[in-house]
Amino acid sequence: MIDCEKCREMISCLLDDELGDAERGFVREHIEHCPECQSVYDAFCTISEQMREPEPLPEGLHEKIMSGVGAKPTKKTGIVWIKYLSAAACIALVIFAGAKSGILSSDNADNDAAGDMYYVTATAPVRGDVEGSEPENDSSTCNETQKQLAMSSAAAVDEATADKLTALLEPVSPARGDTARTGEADYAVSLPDGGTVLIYIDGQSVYADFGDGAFLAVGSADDVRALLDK
Amino acid sequence: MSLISEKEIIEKVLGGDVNAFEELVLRYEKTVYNLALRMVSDRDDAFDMTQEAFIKAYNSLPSFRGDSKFSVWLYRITTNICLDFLRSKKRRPQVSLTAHDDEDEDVQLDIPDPAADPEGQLIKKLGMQSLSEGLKLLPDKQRQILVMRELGGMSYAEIGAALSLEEGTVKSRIFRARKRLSAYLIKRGNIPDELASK
Repeated sequence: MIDCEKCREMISCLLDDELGDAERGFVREHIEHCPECQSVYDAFCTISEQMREPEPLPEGLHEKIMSGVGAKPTKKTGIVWIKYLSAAACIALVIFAGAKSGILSSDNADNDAAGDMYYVTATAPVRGDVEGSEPENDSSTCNETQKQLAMSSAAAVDEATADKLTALLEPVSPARGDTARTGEADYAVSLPDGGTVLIYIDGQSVYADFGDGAFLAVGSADDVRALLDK
Repeated sequence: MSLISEKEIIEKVLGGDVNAFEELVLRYEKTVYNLALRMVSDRDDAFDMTQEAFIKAYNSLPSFRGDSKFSVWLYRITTNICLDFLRSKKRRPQVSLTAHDDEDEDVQLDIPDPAADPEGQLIKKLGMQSLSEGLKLLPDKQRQILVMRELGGMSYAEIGAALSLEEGTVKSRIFRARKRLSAYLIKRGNIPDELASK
């Protein structure tokens, strides 16, 4: 005979069809002889029923969804990624496509010649105020540093990984209210033309700012980290 | 409804067929909306979360590897968006719940249930309100997992894989969520009180 506390946890599993035959038998037998656990079973059943009670789709939602779906996401190439970490952290990652971008020159010339190869670079810490009101000074200085750092210690990653990263940056919607990003970015992305994209992680959300305001990007923080932090 | 597989639909969308995505929307919009509703407990917010989830899924489709079912991936996106929204909302001043309830009441009336008597409908409605309030009291992570299980129909293994959690963690969070919710609903009189003395 199993004890009541154990039985109640197993009742939860029973409702979720997560028990084997033997365990199901134990629980059912216990419930049959234990009114208190029978009550727990009934309560959990009631919760399940109420939660699964469907609400109809609001009028106009389907159309709203479809109106927000745009053209097929385009894959960007030739991006330089640099990760900022706060003062104590000392690793920045840079991913770039060198050969056709023209940003990177001498040190990676050999690698760049390989074509659309992307690279990850570990660098010294990069820190700067990326407040949107003063982008020229700090961002430009930072970009120069990033570009220099990008030219050292490159390690190749496959193109598929870089493609996934670019897909994760597709915009969804403008950042709302207090989620607008103005502080220190988690990542900076320098484009081949010299522009910079700032990436902010907030919970599972990823925000990107190409210089004209932050927007919610499609990728989740886990997805971005999984690709950049490996 | 077409019997075309999800894999084929996804391939079509990735190939540039925007309209193919509507097939996926039709299949999952109701579940996604209900997931969002249980997560954020507000119809207007759930409306927005649903739209955001589908747009995010659409734009992220190139990164969908197919390791899990599309539904599992979509529900994860949905609940994560809701969690981020709730975190953001917590940092802002709260608006009056009464105003929301009044608005919700109007929407609720759009749901005809000819089989139910008015008293039964009222009881049901009160029960759903209590459930909604009880869900709001759960820690976000418990609510997310419970909603994924109950509305998404996801197994412990699927939830664990989607959220990078051990199955044992999933199991215990669901159990704790149910216990907590039971206690609240018993206190509110929405569940018989045999458990009240436990």
